[in-house]
Amino acid sequence: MSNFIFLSLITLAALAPALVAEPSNKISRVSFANGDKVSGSLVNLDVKLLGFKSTLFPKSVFFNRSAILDLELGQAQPSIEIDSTQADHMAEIQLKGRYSQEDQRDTLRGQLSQVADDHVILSTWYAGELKIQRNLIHSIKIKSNKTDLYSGPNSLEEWNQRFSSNSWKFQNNALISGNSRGGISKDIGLVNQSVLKFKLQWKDTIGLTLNLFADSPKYDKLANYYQLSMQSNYLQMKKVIKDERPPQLNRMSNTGYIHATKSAEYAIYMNKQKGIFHIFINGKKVHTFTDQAATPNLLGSSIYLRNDNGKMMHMSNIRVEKWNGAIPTPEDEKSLKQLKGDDQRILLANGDAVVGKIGQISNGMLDIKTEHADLKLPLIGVRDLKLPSTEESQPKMERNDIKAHFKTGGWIILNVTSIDKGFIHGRHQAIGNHSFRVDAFEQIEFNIYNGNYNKIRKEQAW
Amino acid sequence: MCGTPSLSNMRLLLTSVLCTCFILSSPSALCAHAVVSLKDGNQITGELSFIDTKGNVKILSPVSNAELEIIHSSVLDITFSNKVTTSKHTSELVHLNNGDLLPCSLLSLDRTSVSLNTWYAEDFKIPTSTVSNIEFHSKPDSIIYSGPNADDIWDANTNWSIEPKALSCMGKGEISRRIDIPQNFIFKSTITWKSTRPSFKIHFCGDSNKSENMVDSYSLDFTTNAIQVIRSSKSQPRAQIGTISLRLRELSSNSIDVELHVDRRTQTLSVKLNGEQYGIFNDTSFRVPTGEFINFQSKIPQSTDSLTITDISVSQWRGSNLSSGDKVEELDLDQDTLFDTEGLRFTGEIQQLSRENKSLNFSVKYANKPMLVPISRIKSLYLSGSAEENVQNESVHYSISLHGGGTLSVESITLSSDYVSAKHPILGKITLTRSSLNKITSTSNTDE
Repeated sequence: MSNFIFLSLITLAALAPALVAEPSNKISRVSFANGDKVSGSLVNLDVKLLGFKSTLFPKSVFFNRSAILDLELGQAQPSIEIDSTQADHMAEIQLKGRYSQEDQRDTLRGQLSQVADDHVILSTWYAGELKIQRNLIHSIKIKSNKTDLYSGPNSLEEWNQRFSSNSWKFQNNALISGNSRGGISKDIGLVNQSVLKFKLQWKDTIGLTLNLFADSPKYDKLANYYQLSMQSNYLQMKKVIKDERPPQLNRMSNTGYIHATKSAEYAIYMNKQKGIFHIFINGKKVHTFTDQAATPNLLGSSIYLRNDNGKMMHMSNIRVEKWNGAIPTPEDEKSLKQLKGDDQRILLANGDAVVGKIGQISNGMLDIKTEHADLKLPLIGVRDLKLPSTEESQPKMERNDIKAHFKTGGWIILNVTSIDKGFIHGRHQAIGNHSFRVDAFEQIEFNIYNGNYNKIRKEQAW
Repeated sequence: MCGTPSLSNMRLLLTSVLCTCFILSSPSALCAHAVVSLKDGNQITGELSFIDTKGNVKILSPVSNAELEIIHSSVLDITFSNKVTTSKHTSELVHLNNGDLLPCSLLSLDRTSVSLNTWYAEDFKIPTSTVSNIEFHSKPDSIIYSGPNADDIWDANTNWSIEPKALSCMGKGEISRRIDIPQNFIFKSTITWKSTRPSFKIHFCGDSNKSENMVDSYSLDFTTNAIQVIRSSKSQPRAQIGTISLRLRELSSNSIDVELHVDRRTQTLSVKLNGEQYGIFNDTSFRVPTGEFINFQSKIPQSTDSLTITDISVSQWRGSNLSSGDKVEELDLDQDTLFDTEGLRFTGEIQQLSRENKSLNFSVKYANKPMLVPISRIKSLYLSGSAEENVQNESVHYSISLHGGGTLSVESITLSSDYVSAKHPILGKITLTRSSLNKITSTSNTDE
């Protein structure tokens, strides 16, 4: 216990320079397994009870933690000025899958400070420095913040809605389309070479149409754009130029995704100048569309999301980045695996791969000792760090575990002892005892190993 | 490691499961169960223990370790889920001038006062001028069949399966059974599908258990684009007597509640879907179908898709014929009006209702002496002067809905463990049995 307090104090001390105010406590909502819901603000949490203040009750009330399904935290932005984009890179650390499931991985984002033999240090705005056990890390992906054009979705308001249609709604950091047809648009700032990435889930079948490089985000001014129609089994692309009949791009059948999963990760690498579009689904290139008569000067920087057929779809983790022109190939991963040596394997943004021992990280530069030479690489030039396998390990289930979903996507499972003054205090199996700012999270799930509760969660999912 | 969970993990799981069982079972163990709907989509479920004079609500909920007190201004409504066992069938329904509905048995009625007996409160004697109209014979309709049940015998093909409380079909197929259908009946059921192309048919009053052999029947044909009301007969195998423009795939859920009123005496059908009335349809054929088969026919094309039928009920319908509703817009408001069960209308003056004689003395202008109308022949009575006496009491804060029907608008309400006390603008101070409550709505909060 004393160890925990000590660690907490260290954590808070580490956070202190960044903290100008206690995290604010906005309107939150507790949902219970019996269907009850109460909105208000979180007061505190201990191992048994959740203290809650609500205008519904004359005084603070205490809810049984064992009855809670989840706690949606207010959607307000963090109360301190956190501009992670000022950092040169963003590292995303995924931990080993829980319960042997590939998609059940804790995710932590921040800036990489140190990669040692037994741990990695990640610098974060929400929890200070996190010392993460190496044997629980699955992967470290690094990307340059300077290449970010858009990261969202963040609200429905940031998108233009056609005729105020209700075809799309914003919920839990995702855009969800419904039975009614309609589209939304945004000048997302597409540059000549851009990559658009998103996760798409669907209820029945896919029926998403994207307008890319559109010359205006306003429907009434829209004249020129590429149109990518994504249906269940095929992709189709055409170019629309006002008052013209431009030569058409080809159509592609058999996109080859497994529809039973009702979920896929898309990446569209686009070059406006050359009229090239590489479509990736779940990391595999399924097709390249080429406009043989590219007209970059007529096009713009907006995208449209169209639900033309009234399909229920869920779009999340939408990211638009500048693209360096190199498309990922299966050979990248293959060559990384074929590299000999026991040290860390580093896949560079341009597809090169090296094996070496990672040394100091300072000023955005990474020292790597290889068999042949000592290298100093910019972190933003690194795409993926594969750490040599250590002892097999994976997080375990523990009483009081909660699943906390970050506002920026991803989640971690914490063995929470308390929440107070805007911080979640608990133990993470890869980190140890630590405190996390509450306002980094949008939702906390309770009783996460309870089958009945998980069934309700599944039924309530979008 | 993950494949072999440790003993401590197993214990944790077991404890967690046991805790969950306790939590999930505890609400159902409570007797006076109520759901309190609150502002902003909030809700608390539990055992309602108290409503004080200000309207603040106290509730014991399994989600909290202590009794929760809810501020009155947050409460939208309270729904009681306890199954009522004491409700009695009442023969009349009194409409008060303020819009309230009182299910009751009329004890007496004359020019000055109405006395009524209720199962949910004391007997009342109120001025006749406070009554707008009275419906007679509002007895609940007796249920002929309610199911499906485990021991039911249905005639089905292999695609259908009889599950506990549900009939389920994968792909195409039909299932039928014979039911002793009365002349006038109400059919109710819920149909749910897991398919992008739902399509099915329900046949009523059929003369065969198989649709291909059925010559005489009514049917509802749920197609992709519309719902058709069909009368099949020997002379016209498939006469369409009505179309409902409702597309199943545009419904918010993959489910539809069907309620059909069939009046074979007047050959009229009324269709309600998801609680909404979609029309009254006339069968103009020479005869009425007299068969006793009900048949569900799934026309879902994919064998992996399913259709499920639940909550089937067939009840005798005592209501009056569908086509002759009371034409209240033509009433002479200065006089009383009597509608009889045949749809005939008499304008005059109520004299006296006698329970002993089972009749009502009703004066008609051109008759020498009052008519003596048997109560069994009265459908409804509209009382004169109701428009002038219309009570719109602004101090009303709650609307009470009773189990089995009936509503009361009250100025205040207090609830304790034994009784519910309320102040009614016409009935005065009333005491209701707690088990009679179906729902309390806070009109002042919901009107905002």
